Amino acid sequence: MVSIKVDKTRCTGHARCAAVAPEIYELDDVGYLGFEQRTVPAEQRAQAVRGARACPERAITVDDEDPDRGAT
Amino acid sequence: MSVETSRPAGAVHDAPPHVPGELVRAFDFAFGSGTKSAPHVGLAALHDGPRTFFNVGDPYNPPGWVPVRGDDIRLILQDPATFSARKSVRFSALIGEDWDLIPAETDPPQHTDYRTMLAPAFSPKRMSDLDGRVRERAVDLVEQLRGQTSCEFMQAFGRAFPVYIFLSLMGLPSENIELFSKWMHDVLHGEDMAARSRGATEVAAYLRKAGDERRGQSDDDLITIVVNSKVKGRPLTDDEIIGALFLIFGGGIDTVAASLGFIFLHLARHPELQAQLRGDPSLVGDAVEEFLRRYSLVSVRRQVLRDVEAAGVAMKQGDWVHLMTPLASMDPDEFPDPLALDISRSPNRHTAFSYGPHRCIGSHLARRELVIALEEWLPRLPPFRLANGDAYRTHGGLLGVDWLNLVWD
Repeated sequence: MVSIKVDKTRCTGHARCAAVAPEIYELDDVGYLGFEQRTVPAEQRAQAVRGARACPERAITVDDEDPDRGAT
Repeated sequence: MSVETSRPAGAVHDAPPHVPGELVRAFDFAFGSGTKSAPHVGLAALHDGPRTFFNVGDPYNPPGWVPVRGDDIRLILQDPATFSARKSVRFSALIGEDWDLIPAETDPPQHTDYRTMLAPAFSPKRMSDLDGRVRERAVDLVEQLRGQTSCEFMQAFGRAFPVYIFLSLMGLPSENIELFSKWMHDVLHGEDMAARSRGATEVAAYLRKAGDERRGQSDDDLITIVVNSKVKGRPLTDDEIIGALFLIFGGGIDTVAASLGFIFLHLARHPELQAQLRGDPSLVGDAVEEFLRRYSLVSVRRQVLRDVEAAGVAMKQGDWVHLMTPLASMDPDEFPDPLALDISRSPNRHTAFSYGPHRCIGSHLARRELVIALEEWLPRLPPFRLANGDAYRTHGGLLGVDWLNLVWD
């Protein structure tokens, strides 16, 4: 499993995570990320990292790795 | 640290004594060299200079720090407790008044209340619901060009389209396109302060009257939503209402018009990119992201609330800091070969819509407008190119395109 953590204080609703990986990053009604932590199956890791790297605010980490370096 | 002040050629302000002399520069963002043909090229060159400089050469802004690196710009914009947005735009001062743009000229926690109030009206979901209306307006304008073989793009589409969408969202009659196009120009790009002030006075009077007429109504246009909104359980004051309505006017039209201008100017010079997008419309979304990066437009400023070390320099309480989204979007550390337009860049974490709590509230609408403009224009009209001669002119400051003459066969 792959763990995704969201720093909700940093999420300002750019919605880029959902634009590149909508099945993982579900937004609330107003357009902010709707969760602080979730796990997804290992085969979704590349998508999870893609969404994290798309975040302009650097609010998302996947498995505690820096999303800029995160393996795919 | 040097204590003597320094006044380089072109300076229109003095630097305060705490600024090291070697960091003082006079850079005229509005009228500096190259702003009439390629303002981004001049801005990109700032990455060859110091990490942060102190600008005394901008006649339209107070002197202040200019960090050039994307990371520095981001960290400052993410830190409203140190860098305040209060009184950072001041449209109200243009007309001798003293209201804040809501929420742009407020700081958390007050900012959070206003943002919470307005966010649902601009959410990605609500913008998808409006897609049909936006598309209809684009088709309407493009169809008027069928049969022609040339146009001045900014008048025919670049300004008209976002004004049209603005009027539609605000519930205002579409015959006002010319009027609001003129006001937008006067307020943001007027030749002198008198023209800007006159424009702002007229816009404020119009919006106030429209607001008064909609109190207690229940339509879903933005004016009705704003005037009947509550913040912390109380109705908005008159100043809060004009502050919010003026922000939608000031933030939502000119930026999209300018983006469309730069996009179509770029496409006119790159027939191969036009062909690529016509051949595979699924690329339009990625192309728009890259256009937003390569042609980021907006600059904002913040005021330092306490002495702080930031972006590699010692800032003092009261200093202004100018945060230029084009500089962050063209940072070569994040975007190799930043002046190259490459629609396959991934990730493309550009900063066209800024960072932090003031992230452009209209970003989801702006993206849809740009995507829809390309999706509806490209299949309807033949490949276009620049007209002969003096085909276009751009401007610095709040970056944009004055005119753009296109021709096609």
